[in-house]
Amino acid sequence: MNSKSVCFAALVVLIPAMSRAQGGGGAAGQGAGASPRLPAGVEVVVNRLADSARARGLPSDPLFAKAAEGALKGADSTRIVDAVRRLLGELEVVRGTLGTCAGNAELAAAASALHAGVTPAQLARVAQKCGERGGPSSAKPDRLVMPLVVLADLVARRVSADVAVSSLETLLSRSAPDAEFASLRTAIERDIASGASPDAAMRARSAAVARSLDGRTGGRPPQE
Amino acid sequence: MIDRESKTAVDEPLDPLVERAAAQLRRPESVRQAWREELLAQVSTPPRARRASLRVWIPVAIAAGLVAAVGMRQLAGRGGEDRIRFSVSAPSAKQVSLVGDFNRWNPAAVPMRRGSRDVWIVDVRLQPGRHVFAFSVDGALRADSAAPRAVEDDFGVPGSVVVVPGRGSD
Repeated sequence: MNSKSVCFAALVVLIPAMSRAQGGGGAAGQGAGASPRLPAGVEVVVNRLADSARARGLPSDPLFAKAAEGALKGADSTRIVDAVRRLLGELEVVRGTLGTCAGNAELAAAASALHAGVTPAQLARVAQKCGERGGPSSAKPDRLVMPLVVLADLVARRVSADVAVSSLETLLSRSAPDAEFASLRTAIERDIASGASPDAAMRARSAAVARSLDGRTGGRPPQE
Repeated sequence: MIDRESKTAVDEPLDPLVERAAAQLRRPESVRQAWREELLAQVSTPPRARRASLRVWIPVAIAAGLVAAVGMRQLAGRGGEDRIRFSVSAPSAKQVSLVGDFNRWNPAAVPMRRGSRDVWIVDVRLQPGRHVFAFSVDGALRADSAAPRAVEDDFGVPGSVVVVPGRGSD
């Protein structure tokens, strides 16, 4: 066996293995059939926008996912392209707000909050508090994701962005774990469904969580 | 001890029969000139032969290394994923599946199975992060009422969000 045939054999083995690895291989990514087909012309535009995203250091996967979502939901070409283009713009804004250290999941969550009506300045406040959450040495990946998801959800439920951000800042300064944010959202959703004012529910529930956290840490709230 | 035995063996006189056989063996053998030249050529080029052998084995070693690296990466990816259970109540549904950004909204990718009390369930491995999803119930999309809503609903059909904590998260 000469060296050329060995190289060829190695490539034959490696290329499928590497493409499987690139595809993720997770159970959620596997299955029969294909993604919903994009309308003619949309794929070209989405590919171009994805190239543009990569060139700016932004994730391109959310753009493809957005296009596929639009196709499955039966949106027309214009609507899909508009949504993908808007998402690219939002990702760019939040990248500027959160900085280059933000992970892709944080960018997607922040873009969603921006979409819901949170301003870049308010996002920056959350990011700053979150940075203090585990101290300067904290390198926890995607630490912003859950607070931002909850923020976006609550603003979409008509909690005013300023009240929601202030309340979340209070909890972030107490190093509230992700589980607290998740249960806070559920509780506020329940209160709103029972007729409470969204802002009042947000204030009352976050104050209760803060008191509970202070109780666990010996009753000394952090300096804000 | 071994050295001493060798010296004794050399100094001892040989048996005449052995002496004659040794003399025969020491006698130069005449061979064809072409054979001789070919043999000498083969003997005098061991480094070249060794280089050819390396040319074969270096790609094999690189390929083996890459395969090992890919395998490790796949294992690492599996380790980073979390198994999440999704469920939805759909008593009259005939077919329910889970769609989302993790499977590029492909309704055929993750079918759900009917569990007890008409609740459809599926367990999937998801990478840490934020994922937007919905249930496809007989072809109609439905959000998960228990999960945060995906506010970036650009297409008029609601979706939901699941957050998969990363390693080292709370």
